[in-house]
Amino acid sequence: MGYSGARGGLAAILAAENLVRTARDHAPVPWASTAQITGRFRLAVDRVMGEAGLYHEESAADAFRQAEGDSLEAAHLVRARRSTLPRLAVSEPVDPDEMVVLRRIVPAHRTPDGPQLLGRTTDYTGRLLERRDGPPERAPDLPATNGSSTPRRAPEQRCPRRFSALLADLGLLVDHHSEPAEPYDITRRPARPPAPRSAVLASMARAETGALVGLWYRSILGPDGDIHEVTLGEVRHGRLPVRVRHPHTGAPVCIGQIRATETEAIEDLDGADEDRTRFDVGYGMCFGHNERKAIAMANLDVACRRFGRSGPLEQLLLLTTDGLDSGGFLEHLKLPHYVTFRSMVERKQAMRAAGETGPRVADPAGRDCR
Amino acid sequence: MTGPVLAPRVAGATLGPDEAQRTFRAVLDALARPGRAYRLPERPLRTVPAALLPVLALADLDTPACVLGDDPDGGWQQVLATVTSAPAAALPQARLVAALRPLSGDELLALRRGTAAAPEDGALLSIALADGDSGEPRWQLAGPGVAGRNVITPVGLPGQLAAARAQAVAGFPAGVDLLLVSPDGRVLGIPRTTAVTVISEEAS
Repeated sequence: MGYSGARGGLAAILAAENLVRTARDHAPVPWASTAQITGRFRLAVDRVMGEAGLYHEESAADAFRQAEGDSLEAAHLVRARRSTLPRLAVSEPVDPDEMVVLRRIVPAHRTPDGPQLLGRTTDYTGRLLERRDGPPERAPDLPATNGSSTPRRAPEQRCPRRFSALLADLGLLVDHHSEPAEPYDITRRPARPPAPRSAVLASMARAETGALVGLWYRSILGPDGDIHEVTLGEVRHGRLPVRVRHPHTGAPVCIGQIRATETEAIEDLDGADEDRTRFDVGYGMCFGHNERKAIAMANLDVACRRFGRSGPLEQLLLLTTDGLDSGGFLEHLKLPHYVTFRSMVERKQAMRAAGETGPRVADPAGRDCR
Repeated sequence: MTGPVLAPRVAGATLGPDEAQRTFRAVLDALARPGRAYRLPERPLRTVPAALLPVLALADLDTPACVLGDDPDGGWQQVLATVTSAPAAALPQARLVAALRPLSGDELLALRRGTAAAPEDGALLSIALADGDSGEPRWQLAGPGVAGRNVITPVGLPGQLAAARAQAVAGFPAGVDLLLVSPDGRVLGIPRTTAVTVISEEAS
């Protein structure tokens, strides 16, 4: 498919950019500060970080403002920024068991190890739209505690043992005997099927949230014929330390921490060639607080392991879920396609002139060419 | 190199975002328009050898780097590693090379050139020119990005370097790219696409 470069007139393009800057940056409304965006739209900021693949809340907030709220455009800005940053080190592998949980639920079991810590969630809140000009006058009262003071969470409660470890102890988990291997770096080479599991996980960790949820829903409803019985083992949001090796002493040094959402999905194995006496576990993790994405990711991880190559799923995950890939190709359609289209028009006019207006004659073998 | 001597060098070699961008831009423009000189930012040049500055701006964990003509204790290679995390490499493995002393034709021929499928693996060599304006040697440049025919005078470059370079870039798209940096911070670019002819003063 050929198309001409954008020659819409440099002046027109500059005028359009001017209009964006004027309307966006000089609108007669109060400026949205970075602190306001990280403070009041934390989930949008976290989503932008996750889809860009760069953990820096202020950059994601500034991108969200510059993109006027378009989270894919914001992710594009942050990913472009990421490409200008020098790589100074490769971190040590992060151990998710070190997560200090801010929120942690286990839908599969009532009393797992550690608390069911609901944390900051609106999962149980009625969806009543509140229309207000400012914050409510009074902050909510602390929940009634029958006179006793609310106990502070002990550190052990913030690092609970994960539910899949309990299943493993009971011998209910499939052991994949996976060898530790160098993870696939999708920022250096694009992953193409057949790809190792680390490539699929990395692609999903950076994928667009909506794309993953859509693919997950399709996978659950099953038009591809795959059946799932999924229960969530862990849904966590918490802080993880990031460590690098000190360049001179060689010892690991903690240089900061990130927030991440982590999910484990317990899948009931019921295929004819699977071990039906056991479960399998899918894993999902993404930057910031984005439960929808991590849950979809965990489910799709185990679905890909089970059905990824017997159907289109692995290809869909690797090739269609990246927001910049899909959004970029979509938006390129707005560039002039004058030459392509004109050639199509001329071809049709030629066909009409040659009198080929009747229905296509069937191939003698009985199959129509399409 | 010990701490008290290394630390001020590291401070001088740590580029601010503006300096890094201006260095990148100067290198980009120099390679895009071979033969036209562009200015590197002034502040780092007070402590850093001029030919090292492009490498400082471009190096990171993924670019093995080599410094030729370093101090005997390897000071500038250490500074480079500390500031950019660039791993030290021998000449044939380096992606970025800073030649603070004149290098021989054989050394240029040893640089990695990449392959047809991965031409970006070819080395970028930043060579220090000598001071002054002796007018010799004279290289005539032609090719993409060169306006007409351009003559430059890379002071201090050994005579056989042009012939060695011609051999190194003969297998286009594989090849090496050169930056010629004068001590006052002007940089010229000779990408692998440029044809270089040495003009001799004496009539043959």
